[in-house]
Amino acid sequence: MNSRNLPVSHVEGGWTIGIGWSRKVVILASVLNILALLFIILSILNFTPFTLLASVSIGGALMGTAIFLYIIVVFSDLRRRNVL
Amino acid sequence: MNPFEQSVNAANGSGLSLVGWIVLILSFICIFLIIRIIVQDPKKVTKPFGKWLLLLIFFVLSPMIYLLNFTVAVEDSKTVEFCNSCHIMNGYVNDVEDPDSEYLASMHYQYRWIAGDQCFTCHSDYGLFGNAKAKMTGIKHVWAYYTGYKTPIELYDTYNSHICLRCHAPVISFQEIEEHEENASEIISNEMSCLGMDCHIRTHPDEAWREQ
Repeated sequence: MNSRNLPVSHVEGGWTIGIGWSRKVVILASVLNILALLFIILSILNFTPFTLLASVSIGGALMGTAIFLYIIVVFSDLRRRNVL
Repeated sequence: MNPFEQSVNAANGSGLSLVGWIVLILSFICIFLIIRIIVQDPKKVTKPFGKWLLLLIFFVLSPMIYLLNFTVAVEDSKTVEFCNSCHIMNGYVNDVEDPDSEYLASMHYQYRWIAGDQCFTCHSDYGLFGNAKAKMTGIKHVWAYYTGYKTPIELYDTYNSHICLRCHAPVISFQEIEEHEENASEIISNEMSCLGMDCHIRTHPDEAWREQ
């Protein structure tokens, strides 16, 4: 274990990223994605100008952020495994 | 709405479109799977199965749902019903749907000179960029609707004659009208608008915006 209580096997190449960290980021991304999907469902069930704009703009931003966070986790995971 | 129109609307199905159903079902599936992975068994998040499933949800299903919803949004926001969902438009749509109205917009609607999406057809420029521009303007209108706008509401600019010409230009009865022949170059170059001046007036009632 290192000073941050992360498994040593997960601290490589200067990246202090552990499984706990990536799990938290994935959960955050999942929550954001669920929120984005709820905006879309609301827009489909109650189609008004407001719900439409909310689903396309806020929903899109949340979904984009969720995908970005997941990409970060994938890259950090690949780096940890020395694939990248 | 007359019984004939009601029967047609009922036959066409007034509920969700097929794409709408697909978006709805896929969204619920995604939410169910995500919750199952992160709530019921959080350890799965870092297990290969959970990772691959989330990868599929994040990179394939969710963007697909977003794009499908976008197409539904673009298509369904062209309808007269959608325009009427902003109260400022109630007066205009009520007049358009009034069989006794003799305003230009109403005649186009009542006689179905424009088959569908009548508001959008007359208030969007021709072509792909015309549609995109109309959508951007629509976003501006929604913003104005919730944050405040000036009344009476007016067009931003002189009405674009090309919108009329895309239907009327090939019609012989239109071409044969003397005033159209005399002013053909001005109409085509959009120096002269079809609406206003001494030509076609009374498109909508002047006070329609008051009726909310």
